[in-house]
Amino acid sequence: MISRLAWRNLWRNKERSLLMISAVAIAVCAMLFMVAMTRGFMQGILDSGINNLPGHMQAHSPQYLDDPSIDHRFSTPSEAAQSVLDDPSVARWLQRIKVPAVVQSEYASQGVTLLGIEPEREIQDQRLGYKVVEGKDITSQSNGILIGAKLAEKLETELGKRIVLMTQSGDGRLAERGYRIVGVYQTTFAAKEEAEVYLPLNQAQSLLEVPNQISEIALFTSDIGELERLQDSLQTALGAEIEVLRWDQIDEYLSASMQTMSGFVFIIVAVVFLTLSFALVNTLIMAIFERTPEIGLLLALGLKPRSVVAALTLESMVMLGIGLIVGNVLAQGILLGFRDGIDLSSVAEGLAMAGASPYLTAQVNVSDWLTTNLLVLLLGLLTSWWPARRAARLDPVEALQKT
Amino acid sequence: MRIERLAWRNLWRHKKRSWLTIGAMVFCNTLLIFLIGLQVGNYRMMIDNTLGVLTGHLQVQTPAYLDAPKLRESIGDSKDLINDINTTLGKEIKLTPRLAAGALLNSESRSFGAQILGVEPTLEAEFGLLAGTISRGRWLNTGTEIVIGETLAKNLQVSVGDELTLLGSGYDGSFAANVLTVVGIFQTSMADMNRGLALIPLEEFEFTFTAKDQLNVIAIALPHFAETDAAKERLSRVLDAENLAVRDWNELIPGLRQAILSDVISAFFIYAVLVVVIIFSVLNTQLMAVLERRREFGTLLALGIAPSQLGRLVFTETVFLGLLGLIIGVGGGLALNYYLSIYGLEFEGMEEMASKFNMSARMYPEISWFTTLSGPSLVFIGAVLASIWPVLKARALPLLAGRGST
Amino acid sequence: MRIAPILLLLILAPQALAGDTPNATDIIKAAMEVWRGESSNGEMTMTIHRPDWERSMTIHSRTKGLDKSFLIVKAPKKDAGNATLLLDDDMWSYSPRIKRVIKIPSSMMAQSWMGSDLSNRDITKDTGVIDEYDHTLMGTREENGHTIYQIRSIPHEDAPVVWGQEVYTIRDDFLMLQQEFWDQDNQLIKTIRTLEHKVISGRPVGTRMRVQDQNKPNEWTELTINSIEFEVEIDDNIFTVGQLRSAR
Repeated sequence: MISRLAWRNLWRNKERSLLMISAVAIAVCAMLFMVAMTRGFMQGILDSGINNLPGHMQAHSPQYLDDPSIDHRFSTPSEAAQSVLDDPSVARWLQRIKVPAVVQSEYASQGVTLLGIEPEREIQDQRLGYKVVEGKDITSQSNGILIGAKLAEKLETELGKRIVLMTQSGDGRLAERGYRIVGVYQTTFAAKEEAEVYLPLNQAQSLLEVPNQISEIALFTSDIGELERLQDSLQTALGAEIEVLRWDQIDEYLSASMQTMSGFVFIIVAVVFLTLSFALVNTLIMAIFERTPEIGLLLALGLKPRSVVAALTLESMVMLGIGLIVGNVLAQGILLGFRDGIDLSSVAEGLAMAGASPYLTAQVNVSDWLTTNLLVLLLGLLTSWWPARRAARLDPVEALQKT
Repeated sequence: MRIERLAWRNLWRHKKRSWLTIGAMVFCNTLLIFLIGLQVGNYRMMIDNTLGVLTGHLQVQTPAYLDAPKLRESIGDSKDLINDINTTLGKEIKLTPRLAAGALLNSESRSFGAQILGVEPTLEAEFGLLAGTISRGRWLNTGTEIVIGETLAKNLQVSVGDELTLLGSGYDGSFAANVLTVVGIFQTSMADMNRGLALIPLEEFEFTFTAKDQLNVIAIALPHFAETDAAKERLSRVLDAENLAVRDWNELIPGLRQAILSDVISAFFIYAVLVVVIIFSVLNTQLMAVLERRREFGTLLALGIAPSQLGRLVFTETVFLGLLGLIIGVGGGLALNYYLSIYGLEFEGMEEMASKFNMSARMYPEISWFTTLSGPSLVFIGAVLASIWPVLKARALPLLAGRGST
Repeated sequence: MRIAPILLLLILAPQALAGDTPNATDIIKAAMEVWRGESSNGEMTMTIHRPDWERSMTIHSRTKGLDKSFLIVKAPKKDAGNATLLLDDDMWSYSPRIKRVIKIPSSMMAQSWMGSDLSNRDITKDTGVIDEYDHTLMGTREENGHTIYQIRSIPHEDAPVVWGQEVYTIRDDFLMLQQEFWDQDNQLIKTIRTLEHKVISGRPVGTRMRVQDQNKPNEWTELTINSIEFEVEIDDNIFTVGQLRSAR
């Protein structure tokens, strides 16, 4: 009988019920949206940082990180190392030459970083703003060099022209060669665009006279939990003369920032939740209080207080439930609309400086959603039951007289 | 007049309802003041941390220096210039003169190119944070001393007390060469500085590079970064005549403003969500209230109040609620920010970062008209706008509402 | 060998008389050899001129073969004693003020040499670079009884040369009259012009040469040869890092 009462009550006052449901739906939707955006933002910064290093893990000759010259190089991975790199938890890996060099045109010279890469391994994430704006991206067969648009501007040169690359060879002598610019790229990081020039790995090795040798190996994993195990196996496979480090060991600033941000974000989300809950509670409590006369009537009619409480609570919970479902669906809908991320390219440069990509994406975490819904449910239960209980305790006559 | 009094009395006749609505707004307002205050305070910290190391808020240079920094681009003798700057900008500023050139630094075993800055040790130490980031040894005093970055020290394989020789090109194109002793090694949060920067006393620089009575840069630190634009304008007017350029930190470090803007935008989403939800909550509550007060309104209508006045009643009630939410919220938020502006807010992991990179370990909210009133004003305006619907509803109530069921 | 240039003259001259134009590459090679000689010992003054200042240095130089050079500054007093050793593609520098020998790293090779309009790399390049180009004879003309050859040199695809082309104006006695540097858009950017020349020990020598940026007419570097002897005996030991330290 209680449930029937509850159900009918619901539909007797459509407007009020609708208002309650919408209040719950909006609050829930907002919470879910915010949680997803915040997670997305943080993940974006981490992803961007990892992509810039690059990799979750890197291997170098021990002195390389302090002095990134060709003097500190090592051999391309052996079979044993290759098998570690082919481990299923390794999403992809790459090897490259990365040394300082000077690039010269007819008008200017500029210090740069020469990268000898294997293009098929180095998939550039379009989201991070990298794109080839003139000519072509380099391939392993390329016969020229790929430079950044800003560098081309500084050197007063352009696609199709030759520039001279000067650097130190493996045996300490001067290495120089002319290369045609076969491609010009742009990326969000202006500093990168000015500094990084690309050659196919074998061309770089030939220029530097270091056949089969590289400056670094980097790998990306699909499972961060596996990182330590991978580190151990790779270290063993590569031998003690090579240093294998995780991203948090290489970029301590990024690691520290992530931690600080985590703590900060948690508090913000918690407090925001509190505010949203307030709004929710507000609505729910109000609903009960507004119905004090009604409660009085029911009590006067002989309904036991416990039943009244049960009926009201049930009613509230049903509305809460509907509101939750609507809120979830709404949130999903909005997030789906933003699936490709919000384009912030106008402030991309600043974001890049902060280490984030120019696209603000949302990340949907199942545990986050469950927690949020559960919290709202619990909150709803409490704020439905408690005031109902209080109202039911009133003297029916008093209750009837309340407006 | 009557309507206002009635509205006010109505609020307190429905104490719980009123307080719940006010409470939600107060909570939201306090949160907004806290968050925005913290955000702006954070920007100040970000700007101060970045500019405070070396750059300053303004720099006086030759017009050509910004795009093509060469030793020969000199702003001339410092004395008159420094006087002019002090007169124009007042005594609260800090300034420091510098010369800069690229050179080759050589230790026993290694050679590395670096940017050499000639600075006045005392002025520089008072001016910026760099002197405070010395992790080994000490700051410059006088004579043939040099301080270098941690990474540069590692690359050159030198430590405090070792000798470095400097080889470069002087102001007049002649050979610049000198032997210097490493007295200190610094470590900032910027890898580029640690790898490529070295500082020597200005006098020694002048001698080494044959650059007597020359300067490349006078860096100026203002009491607050917000003063930058005004100060730049005042100074430019004075220095334009001497063919000198005044550069602000946006020109010197272009990415910084954008970094802040991007942070503003990301935070905007959170604030937007908060404000929207709170306003919606007010709307919801007021709508529900109108529904529940049908009998009350019906009575009023029967007493002769026009429907439009009923609308005004609901409107005024909402305005009062909003004002109370505003005032109490501002009070609470201001108090919280004031407390934190003195004691600071600390998060896990911040202390580690701070000690490593010489940044502040605590965050301090900024107290200003903007931080205090921007959020709550939006909430208030939103609440007032949100009252439109309930007002319309109230005006549309049928006269027979007096018998409506609850 | 003193003989070589003469031989070349003897070989080429009949060709000229016979109306056959000599091979462009040969002409340039000959010009390089005439300019450089087997060895040389001399003194020159380098003047750097800018819109607002001018500076002169007296430099004593010794060269041997195509890739060994030893230069030491004699004046002004402030710079006296600074020495530079060029060996193959490498450059070492000695400063008496710091009493140290420093090898110039590759990152500094594009920097200007002693503040002049020549870069460190320009100075260290040996004449072997002519193999990096394809040379063609553009034309000849008669002037004051001499035949003047104009040769266009286009760098190979991957040659470490920034220029689109270089144009040489060489006299029939293989005196280098002018060297032009053109960018890859066919704009003339830089010239090295022989303003005065003399015959020394039977060899035509440019005694005043100016390096000029075409876009900045008020900026140039001039090298004036005060005295020079060719084919002198110079010990290989001179061209060592050790010698830099004890240089006088």
